[in-house]
Amino acid sequence: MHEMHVIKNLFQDLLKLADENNTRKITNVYLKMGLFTEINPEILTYFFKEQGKGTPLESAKLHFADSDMRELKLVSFDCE
Amino acid sequence: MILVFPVQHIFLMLNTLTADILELLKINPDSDLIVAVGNSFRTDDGVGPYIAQGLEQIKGLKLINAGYNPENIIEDVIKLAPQKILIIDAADFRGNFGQARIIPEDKIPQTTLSTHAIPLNVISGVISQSIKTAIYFIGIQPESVCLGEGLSAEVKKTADQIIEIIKKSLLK
Amino acid sequence: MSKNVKVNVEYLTRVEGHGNIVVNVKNGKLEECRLDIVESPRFFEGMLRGRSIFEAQHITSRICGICACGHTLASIQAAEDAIGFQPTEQTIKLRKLLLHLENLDSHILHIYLLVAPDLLGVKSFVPLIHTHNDVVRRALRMKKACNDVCDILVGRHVHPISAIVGGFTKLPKEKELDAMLEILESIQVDMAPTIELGASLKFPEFQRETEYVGLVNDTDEYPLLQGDIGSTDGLRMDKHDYKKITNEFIVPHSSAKHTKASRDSYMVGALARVNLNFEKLHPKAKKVANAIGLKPITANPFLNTAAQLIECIHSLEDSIKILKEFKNEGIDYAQAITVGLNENGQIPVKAGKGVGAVEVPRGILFHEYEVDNKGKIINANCIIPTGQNLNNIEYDMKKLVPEVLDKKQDEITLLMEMLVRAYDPCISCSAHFLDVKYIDC
Repeated sequence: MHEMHVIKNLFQDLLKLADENNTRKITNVYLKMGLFTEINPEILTYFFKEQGKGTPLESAKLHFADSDMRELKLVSFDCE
Repeated sequence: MILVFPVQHIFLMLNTLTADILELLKINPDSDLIVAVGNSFRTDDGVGPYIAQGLEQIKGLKLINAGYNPENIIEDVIKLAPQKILIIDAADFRGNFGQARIIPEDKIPQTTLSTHAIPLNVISGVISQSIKTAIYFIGIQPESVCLGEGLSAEVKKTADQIIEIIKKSLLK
Repeated sequence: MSKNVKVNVEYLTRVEGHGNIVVNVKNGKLEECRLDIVESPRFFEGMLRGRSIFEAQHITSRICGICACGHTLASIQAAEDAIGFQPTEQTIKLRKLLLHLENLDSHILHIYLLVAPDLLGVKSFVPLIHTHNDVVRRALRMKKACNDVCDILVGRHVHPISAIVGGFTKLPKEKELDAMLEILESIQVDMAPTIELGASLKFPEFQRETEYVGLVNDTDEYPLLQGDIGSTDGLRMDKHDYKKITNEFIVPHSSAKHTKASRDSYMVGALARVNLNFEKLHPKAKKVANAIGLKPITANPFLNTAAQLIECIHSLEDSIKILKEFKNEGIDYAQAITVGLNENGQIPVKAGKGVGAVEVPRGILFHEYEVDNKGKIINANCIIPTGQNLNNIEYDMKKLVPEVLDKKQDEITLLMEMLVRAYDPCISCSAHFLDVKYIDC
């Protein structure tokens, strides 16, 4: 439950970034996710799927790269 | 926070257990208590309960499997009044998977991101305020604490070693 | 044209509290005061869609690790209501016992670990280990006792197993009834110093009358599991009309949904229940209430903690009464049922809508399910007490801040935190990390 607002911050930042970049569609999101983040990629993906409806993140694909650090990093995203 | 501990290789089979841990695992059944902590539904977090299961058949050994509710054992521990309490739990100290380490009381995290549990150092604090005892934490580095049952290979290996060493120390 | 935008932002180190209080005072006048809740939607309503009502309680139980039994009971009630199933008297009584245990457990943790530190002048309950070790031990002992009774009754104290749609898969045996009674009687011993502690706590002076909402009924029973929706403003309606009072509206600064009934806001929880149903409390509870001067209608929200203490006594005494009745009258073990996902059609199922309205520790909890003729959930709605209280907390803050503006900023901060904590919100375990932001003060 406590991981949800971390996910929400990430989600909202992406929407803000989409706005700043004048894009209507984010196609790919590249994340770096380390060990023991206590964040489940499945939950993250589900959040984006449910909450993304009707937003630029609607059909965004999430890509997770492994990391040795305890981190969740938004590396970059592709947009159209 | 990265703690540096000397890794002393005892012999090949025991490469994850250091001399100070081996010393701690010498259990006097009359005066010592083993407390296992962890949630068996979170893979390697179940290492504590797994060790408890391996030891539960031994007659005369004081053992409490506290599971995911360590705060509920306080009164039982105080009643037993052991001289030494050995708490075994999974702990992420960024070591090798399955590595065991003695965790100093002040290094136990006070809160975690995802549980409602009462921190272990609070529990040990309540106990040591109530009885004269020495409390030690042995943390085992998990590979995964995702939902699921069963331990990963390296963690299981360490757990089995700990079970064997405690059993042997009792035979003496 | 697709382009790649580099960002490189790390999220974990940005973890902050789950709640922010924003106070904006300009030239000694309060301009704005609000409570931001940064808790995110968790999509349980979405998860339930397409699932069988016979597994709904196991899913919704996970909404909360403290109110697991409350969500289970609201879920079961909504499911049974939807398919038109009437539980037996014995089942209802066992469910009431389960609800008492959870309310008792939750209240004790809130009083001792979250509120008492404020009133004893320490930052959290951790320093209490050294100064009030016996108090911490007593709190944890009472919590363990509640957990142990729950273990016996429903197989596990968080996320109960044996309470299902249709009844219980396992019913307590004679010696289990004895064991539960023995444990509860041990809590009675610890209840005396708990009352003493509660009576010695000095709560901040503050008054703001609001509408108090909770379950009401026409019997002598203090309603927790069953009843209509009622309020101190004289509102009374069937639980199926709950949306008329919870009529949720979204405010921009919070992801939780806000509610209102007859006035701008209403309060749910222990204080609301005590204000509504004071006369139906157990005599012992009423006696203590009189002794500490709590009587209806109490309009100081800080006294929600005192109301919780009163409810602890009620729940404990009523639990013991229920268990003694079971011991005298015996349990009909033929009523134990195993339903699974109702593969064998043991329970007749029809399409319909149903509502569960249950008084859980923090107030009235609603679950509503719409199911098809196979018992699959088409739609689900779940309204938690904390969401209903948010609006009321904001109105309290708006009245409180101007009254205390002459105090030092950290005193005001503490008062605001204590106010939020008094409501025992779901975020209360993290409410010690509440961020109070002052603008232009």
